[in-house]
Amino acid sequence: MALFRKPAVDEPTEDALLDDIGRRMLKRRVDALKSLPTFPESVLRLNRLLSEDGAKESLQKIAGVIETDPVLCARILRLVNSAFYGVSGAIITVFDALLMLGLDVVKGLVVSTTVSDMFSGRGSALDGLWEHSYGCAIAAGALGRTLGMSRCEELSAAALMHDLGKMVLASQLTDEYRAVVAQAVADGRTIRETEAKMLGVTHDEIGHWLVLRWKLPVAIAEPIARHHEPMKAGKYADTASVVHVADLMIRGYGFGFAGDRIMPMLDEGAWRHLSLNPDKLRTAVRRMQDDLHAAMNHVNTLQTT
Amino acid sequence: MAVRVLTQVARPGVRLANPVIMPDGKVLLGRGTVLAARHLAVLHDLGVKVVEVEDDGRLGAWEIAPQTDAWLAALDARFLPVSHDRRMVALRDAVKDVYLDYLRRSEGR
Repeated sequence: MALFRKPAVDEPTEDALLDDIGRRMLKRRVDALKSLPTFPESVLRLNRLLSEDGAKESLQKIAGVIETDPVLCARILRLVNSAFYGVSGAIITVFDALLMLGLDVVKGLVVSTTVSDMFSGRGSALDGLWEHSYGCAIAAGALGRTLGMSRCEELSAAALMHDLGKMVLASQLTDEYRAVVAQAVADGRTIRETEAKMLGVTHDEIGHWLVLRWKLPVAIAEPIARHHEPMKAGKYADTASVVHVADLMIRGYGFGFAGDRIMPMLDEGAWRHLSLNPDKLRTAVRRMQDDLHAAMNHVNTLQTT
Repeated sequence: MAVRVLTQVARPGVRLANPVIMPDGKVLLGRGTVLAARHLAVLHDLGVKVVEVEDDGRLGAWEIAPQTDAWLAALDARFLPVSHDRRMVALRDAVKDVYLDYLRRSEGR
């Protein structure tokens, strides 16, 4: 799997997407987006190392780089040891984490933990979004296992970041986005419809632009950009469809807050693409519930130790 | 204010608002006890699925034992605009069945 995005010939560039967004948004809103922080240099260095030829033979070297960043190291070990990955407490070195998860997944974790750090502590217009994202990651893993898919950890990493566009809007346009959320709830409409009406642009469009700007791994980038239109994700339609359905599973369950109080429609193409039926869905929801309770229990324990 | 929480997922550090009394009438843990992880594990193992704790403002929604009627009403309200779609009905029914089964097990009903 390619670690960095190589846009297809007909795929819009970062600048073209920003121009398109800019035509629909007020200039000051676009300026707020442009002022987004870039990724920390240490993470970019790690990304370069992870994408070098022969990187798979130098796990020890990569583990060494990660271990120089105590925050990143702690977060990766915490994630890999969470009930989410089913090895509670067994992984104590970054090297073991790399062996268990593989480079692509660790890269996804590095990116997602960095994004989480970048936005934590900022004024947020959307309390409950982190719980929604975390729950979506658990739902995606549960659905992937139910469908017998491989690389369920990768599905979880993509799902964890699927609402990147909301994180950006909530942190960069805090007051305006708070008004959007309030309006969506008051009108009984989805947050995506209300974003389009009030801002002129939707969070998945912002996410699409951002994944291009940040050159995120393609296996994570496509589900973020296409989680509301998964059949447009080309060769990543599998992952995008799982993230789409997982988003609805966790919303349906009522865990976290995605910015509205009603359910968006499940995409018919995704349902067919994943060969879903009511029995599979029930099994996946049951697994999600079990994993969610185990994960919350673990998070609670971590917070108090 | 006292809040009913699920011992399976409750966060260690919460303080009992009311004592935990066993079926034979003995007080297992007194009011004011700060629940450590081992307390919660023992309670859960003994079949005490729900306890009343003081709301310290940090309780997560998943920790609080839900009121079934309110939960069902919220579920139906979320799905109402899409209740004409068979796939969404399948999802709603899956969530409802799985969650109610969990409540029955967690509260010993």
